[in-house]
Amino acid sequence: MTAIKTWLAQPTSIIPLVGFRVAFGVLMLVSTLRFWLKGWIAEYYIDPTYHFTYWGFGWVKPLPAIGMYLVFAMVALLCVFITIGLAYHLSMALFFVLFTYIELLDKAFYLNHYYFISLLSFMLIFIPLHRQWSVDSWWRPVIRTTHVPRWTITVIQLQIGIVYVFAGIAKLNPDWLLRAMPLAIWLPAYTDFPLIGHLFEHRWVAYTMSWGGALYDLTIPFWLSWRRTRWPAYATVVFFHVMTGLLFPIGMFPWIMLACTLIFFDGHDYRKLLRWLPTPTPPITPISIQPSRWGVAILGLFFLFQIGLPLRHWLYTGNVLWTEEGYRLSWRVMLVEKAGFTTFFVHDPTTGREWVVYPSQYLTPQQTQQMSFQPDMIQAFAHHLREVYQAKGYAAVEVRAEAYVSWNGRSSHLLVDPQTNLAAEPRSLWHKPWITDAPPE
Amino acid sequence: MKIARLSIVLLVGVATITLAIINQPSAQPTQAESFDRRAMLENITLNVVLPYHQALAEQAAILQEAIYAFRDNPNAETLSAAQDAWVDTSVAWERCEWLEFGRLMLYHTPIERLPTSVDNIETVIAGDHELTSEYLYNQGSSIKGLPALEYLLFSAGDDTLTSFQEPRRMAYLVALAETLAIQTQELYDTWSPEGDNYAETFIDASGEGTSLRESISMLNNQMVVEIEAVLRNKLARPLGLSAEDNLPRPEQVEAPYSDASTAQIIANLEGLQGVFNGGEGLGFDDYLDFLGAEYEGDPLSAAINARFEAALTAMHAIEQPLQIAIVEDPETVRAAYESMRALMVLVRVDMAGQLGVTITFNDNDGD
Repeated sequence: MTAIKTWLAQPTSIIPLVGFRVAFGVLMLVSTLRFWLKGWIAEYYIDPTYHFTYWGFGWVKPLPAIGMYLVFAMVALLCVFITIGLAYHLSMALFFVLFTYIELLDKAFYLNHYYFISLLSFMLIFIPLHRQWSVDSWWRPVIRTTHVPRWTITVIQLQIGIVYVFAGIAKLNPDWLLRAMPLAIWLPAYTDFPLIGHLFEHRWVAYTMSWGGALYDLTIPFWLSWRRTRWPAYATVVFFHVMTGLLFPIGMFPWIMLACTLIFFDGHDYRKLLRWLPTPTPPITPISIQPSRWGVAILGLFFLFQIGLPLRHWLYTGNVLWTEEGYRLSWRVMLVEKAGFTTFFVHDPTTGREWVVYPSQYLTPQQTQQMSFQPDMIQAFAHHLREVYQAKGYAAVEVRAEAYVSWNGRSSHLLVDPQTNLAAEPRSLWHKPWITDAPPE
Repeated sequence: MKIARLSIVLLVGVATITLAIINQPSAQPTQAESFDRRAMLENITLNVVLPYHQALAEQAAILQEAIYAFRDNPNAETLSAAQDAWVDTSVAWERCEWLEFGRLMLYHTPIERLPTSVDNIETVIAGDHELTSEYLYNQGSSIKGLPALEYLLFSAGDDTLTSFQEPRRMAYLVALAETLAIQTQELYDTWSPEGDNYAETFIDASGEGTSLRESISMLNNQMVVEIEAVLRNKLARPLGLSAEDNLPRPEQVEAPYSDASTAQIIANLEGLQGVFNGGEGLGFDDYLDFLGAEYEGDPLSAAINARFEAALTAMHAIEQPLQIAIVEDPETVRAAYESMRALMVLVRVDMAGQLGVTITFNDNDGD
C-alpha cells in the first residue's frame, strides 16, 4: 500500500498533461463546431417536440433555440480557454456542466464517446493540466511546475483503460466471436473501399476483425503502459482507429481516442519526438499537488461507479444485447446491428375505441429509429402518448406497442409484449417483464 | 520479453481458433464468390427507374394530346379519353413518386403536391390573368399538377362536360396539361444520361469509397418512407384508423374525384417491387440472396416478394372505388392495410438489418 502510494506520488514530467490539455481542447472545439455546422443543434435539440430523458433526469429540459445556440457557443469558447489554459479549473468545470447538460437532454442521441467526454471532463477539473505553458501560469507564475505527482497522469490512463477493457469484455459474446456479428453484416456493404474492399465479402475477414478487435480492446491499455511496446502499440492504435473511422460513421470517436491515448507517453517520449520543445519553466516556489482525503474518496467512488455500471446488466435477466437493460453507459461500442419498426395502439377504455399512432408523427427520424429497438424508450413514448391524450381530455388511455426488431441478422421478432399496456407500467430501473425473450439464432 | 512472447502465443492462438471456425462446415447456404453492387444499382437505375420516368413523361404527353382533342372537340367521348389518360398518367407517376432524392424534390413537388387548393384554383379561373403554361409553370404547386387536373376533369361529376363551356376553365385545363408535360419531361431529363444524368450521380454520388453504400441506403430508406406514406396517409387516415373517433374519412383518399386511389396504391407497390427485384436483372432480391439473408428459414427475398404479392392481391380485392369501399366494405380495405403492414416489417426491419445500412439512415453519428 505504501509502495503504491509512493509510486503514485513520484514526480513525473508535466509535459504529457499539457499535451493532453491541448489535444482535448482542440478536439472538443472541432467536435462542437462540427456539430453546429451539421445543423445538429436544431435537429437534436430544437426541432423535436418530445425528448427521451434519462431516468431521474426528467427535469433536464432544452432551452429555447437561442439558449441552445448560446450553450454551444459557450462550450466552444470554453474549449479555447482549456486549450490555452485560461481560468483552467473554472473553464473545465463549466465545460463539464454544459457538455453533460447537453448529453442529458435526450438519450436518443446517446453516444458512448459523449459519455466518455463527460466522465473525463469531470475528472480533469481536479487535474493540473494548466501549470505549464498556459495563460494561467503566465499570469500567476506561482502555480508553474515542471513535474506533477504520477497519480495525475495515472487516473487519466485508468479512465482510458476502463473504456477499452470494458469495450473488449462486451465483445466476448457468442454473436461477436462465433458469428462475427455485426461485422459480417457491416463489412460487405463496403466492398468498394479502396485497396482492401474486395476482402470484406469474405467471412474470414469479419472473423479476423472481430477477434482482432476484441483482443485489441482487451489488451491495448497494457501495451501502451509498457515502455517497450508503447510505440508499436500506438501505431496499432492509429491503424485501428483510422480504419474504423474510415469504415464506419462514428464521427469524432476515432480522433478522440487517438488524442487521448497520447497520455500514455511520458516526458521522455515527448522529448524524443519533439526535440524543439522548450524546457518547462521551473517553479518559483514548488507547491505540492496531493489529493486530499476527500479527493481520494471522490476519485475512488468515481471509478467504482464506472466499474459497476458496465456490470449492472448481470442484475437483469435476459440477454443485454436484446433487452438493452443495462446497455448504455457500459462501453458497448458498435456491438449490434439492429433495425426496428414500432407502431403504437392507443385504446380508450371508456369508449372502447382504439386508434393507431405512427411515432414518426411525433418524433424525428433519428429519435424514431433509436426508439425502435430500445424498450425503455418505447415505454417512455407510450407514457408520453398517454399524457398527450390526457391533455385532449381522455382520462387514462391504454397504450400498446407492436415493435418488430431484427438483431444481428436474425428474423424480425416482437421486442415487447403487444398485450401489455405500457402506459400503466411504472418507469423504473427494475427489470421490465414485458420485454420478450431474445429470439434464438 | 515475457510479454512479447505471451503476445505471440496469444496471436497464434487467435489465428488458430479463427481458422478452425472458418473451416467448419457452415450452416449458411453456400455463398457466391462476390456480388457486383454497382451492377445492381446500374441495372435498377437504368433499366427500372429511368423507364418509370420515361413512361411518366410519355403518358403526360398523351394526356396533353387528349386534352387538346377535348378542347378542339368537347364531347363526352373526348372527355372520357382525357379522363382515362389522366388515370394512366397518375398511375405512371405513382411508380416514380417515391424515387425522390436530394434536389429531385424540386421536380417532384410541381407534379403532385397534396392537398391541392380547390379555392385557389377557382380564384385563378375567376381571375383575369392569361392562362398559359408559361404562367402556370411559375405558380405554386398547390394549384397545378396531377391533383389540379383531377379536380377539373372529375370533380363536377355529370356536369363536368358542361363546366368546360366556361372558356377560362378549359384554358386552365389545357395550361395544366401542358405544364405537367413540361415538368414530367424535365424530371425525366434530369435522370437521363442524355440530360443532367442524375442516374450517374445516384449510382455513385461522389466516385469515392463508400458511396455505393449511400445509394443502397437511400433506396432502402425511400422504400420505407413510401410504404409508411401508403400506410399512414393513403389507408389509415381515410379508414379512420388513426383518428380518435374511428370514423372513416372518404374525402382523405389520394384521388377523391377520379376513383383512381386503389390503382394508385397498386402502382406504388408495383413501382417498389420493380426496384426491389431490379426488373429482370440484378436487384435487391439477388443481393439479399448473395448475403444469405433469411426470414424464418426461407430466403428473405422470397419472403418479401410473397408479401408484395399478398399486398397486391389484397389491394385488387377492393372492388369499389376506395372512397366508397372504406365506408361500405372497410374489412377488405383493412385487410389490404394489414398486408401492407406485414410488408413494411420485412422491408424496414429485416431487409434494412441485413443490408447493414441502418446506422446511416440519416447523416448522424453512431457508435
